[in-house]
Amino acid sequence: MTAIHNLRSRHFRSDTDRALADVELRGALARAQEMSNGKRNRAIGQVTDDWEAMRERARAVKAWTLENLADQLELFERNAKANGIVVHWASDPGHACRLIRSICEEAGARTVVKSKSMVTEEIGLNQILESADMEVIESDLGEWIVQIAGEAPSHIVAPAIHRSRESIHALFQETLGREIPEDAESMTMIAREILRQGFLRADVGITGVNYLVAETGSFLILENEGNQRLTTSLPDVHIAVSGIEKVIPRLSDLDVFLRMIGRSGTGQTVTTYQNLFHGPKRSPSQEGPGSMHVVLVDNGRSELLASERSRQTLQCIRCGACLNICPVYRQIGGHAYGSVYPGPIGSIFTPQVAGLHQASQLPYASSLCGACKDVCPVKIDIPEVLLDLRERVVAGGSTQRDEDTDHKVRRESPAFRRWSAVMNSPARYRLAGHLLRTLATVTSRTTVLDRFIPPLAAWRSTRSVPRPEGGSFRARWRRRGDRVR
Amino acid sequence: MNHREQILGSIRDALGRDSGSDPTELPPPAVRSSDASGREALVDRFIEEVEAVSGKVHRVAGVDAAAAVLEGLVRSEGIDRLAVSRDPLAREISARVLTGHEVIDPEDARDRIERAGMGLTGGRLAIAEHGTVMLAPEDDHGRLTALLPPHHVIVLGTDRVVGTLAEAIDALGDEPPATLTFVSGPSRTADIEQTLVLGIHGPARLDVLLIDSEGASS
Repeated sequence: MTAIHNLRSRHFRSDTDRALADVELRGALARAQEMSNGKRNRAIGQVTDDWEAMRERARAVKAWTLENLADQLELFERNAKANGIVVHWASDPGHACRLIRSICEEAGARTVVKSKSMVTEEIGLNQILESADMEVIESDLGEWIVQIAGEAPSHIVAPAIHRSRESIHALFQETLGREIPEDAESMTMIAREILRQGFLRADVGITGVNYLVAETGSFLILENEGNQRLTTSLPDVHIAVSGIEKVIPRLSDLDVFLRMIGRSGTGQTVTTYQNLFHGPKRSPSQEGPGSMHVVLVDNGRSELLASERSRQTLQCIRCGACLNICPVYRQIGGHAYGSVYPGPIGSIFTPQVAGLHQASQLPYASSLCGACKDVCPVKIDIPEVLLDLRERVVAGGSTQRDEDTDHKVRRESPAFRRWSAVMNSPARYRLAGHLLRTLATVTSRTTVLDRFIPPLAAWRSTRSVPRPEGGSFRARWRRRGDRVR
Repeated sequence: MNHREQILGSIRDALGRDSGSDPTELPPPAVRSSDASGREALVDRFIEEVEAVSGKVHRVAGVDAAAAVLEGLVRSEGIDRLAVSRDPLAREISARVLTGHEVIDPEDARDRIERAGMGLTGGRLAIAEHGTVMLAPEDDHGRLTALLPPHHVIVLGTDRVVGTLAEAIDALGDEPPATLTFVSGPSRTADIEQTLVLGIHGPARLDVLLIDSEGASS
């Protein structure tokens, strides 16, 4: 059960139907996507050197590091230790959580403050610390909103993207038990007041990591709010949790990644704060944590190194651009995926690390339009991996599949045999075309046929059928030919 | 069970199973230089980029002029507590602001820094292309002074302006300090319906006092 935490739900179909019927969700997503894609395009337009050359450099640096991952991690560990950082390793979520809990317990922690970290969502850290009677405060505004709502983040960069301002206002009033103004600025400042008190009483600060730098044994974290600076400056202990794939070889490689990630993720030239850590404070009179830990988490990642195709999944820098561009994410939002990492990247990451049998529907949560591949700053070929995973779902044998997939496979094979028979004979092709036009004409006017053709009814539940006009292509071509002659 | 050996073994084992693909070449390091040439062009670019991210740059001829700008900021906001880092330039100009405010030192308890209305620190470098100031708290003990008060003022000389992020990283050399913070504008969030709000956790206002190098004492 190594990687079960990656998955929250296996009911992709029903979760999707619920999401599609949620008007608040779909309105919030449409607004957010339009804004983020517009900002991204403008920000990329400002790059004076070649964006494509930057993508290729970033891809090559990541690919090279993954091919040399064991050596690079050992190098990071050696240099980090020399800087005074304690490095820990955890193969699975259980061990990672136990490690972190015991560091907190040794520090006598009663309050733990966190800045946004997807890997701590992945290992289910908050529940473990809370069950050890520690107060856990998520300090990123979006994360705090979903924490007090008892929800999971629905986007890897903007956790509360699924919520409208009105629903956040209602949530704040209910939590605080008093009336508050309903504009975003007032609500944000109220959150500042409350969270600042949390920072001041916190004993341990927990963050994620964006980049581990092997040659210097340092690590870098990005943010806009300043909550990460507070998390890493006020408490006496700093624990940074990182997937093993986050390492890059050289400090100079940060140049290309830092200029890409802000533009790709939020359309910023760079994020407001870039925090680079080389170790705890070096003398008692300095400010900052007296001890610093890095926890390296595998949780199924190392298995992905076995082929070039699966390995590219680990190039991801978690910018969120593929979520923002995806037409499927746009309609259903993050929660419907049932995966800690939603969207296109989650649809390839989760089935590979958690096991395909755990998430056999996620490879199908895509129209294969390829927008995610075009937008990815490190050039991950997400559609290629999705197709590979679909092939493995179909070939996997019934014990590895859920009923829905089984049903689909049983239905598809004979359908494709019939399709092939029709396409191989001009007479059958003409007849089929005629029948389909008649069928479409009838269904565009009445729902009478839905009862006899269940897939048609399902398709129609969210769409209207257009009426075919002007006969078949062949008939129109013949008429055109007459005119030309 | 040793998790370290298990993970490293699992990585080497998985990579060993891949016999098909060609090894990737690591691109050689490249220190990108700025397309703006000359000190003046870099300073102009820096000012433009800080303002693009909602910060403000005051370019001044010397320490006296910097002190006058600081005094103006302190007065207009009615600041009665000013936290000052140990940066010599910050000390020098704050000493000239004689408006009866209380000066708070990094040595003071952190809740006194927390209650300050403004924090004044130095900065190690300024990066023109992104309007960034690189803070190295070890230089001036300005870590909390730059972070806790709602208004952060940075003072540094124009000789500290470099063109690109790549040049700033290159300038760190082999012995980087324990912590570096690259600051580009005030703290911001858009987590409520993509509405931009400044000052969610860090300072809501950022002013940079940029002193022409001939006028800076450091």
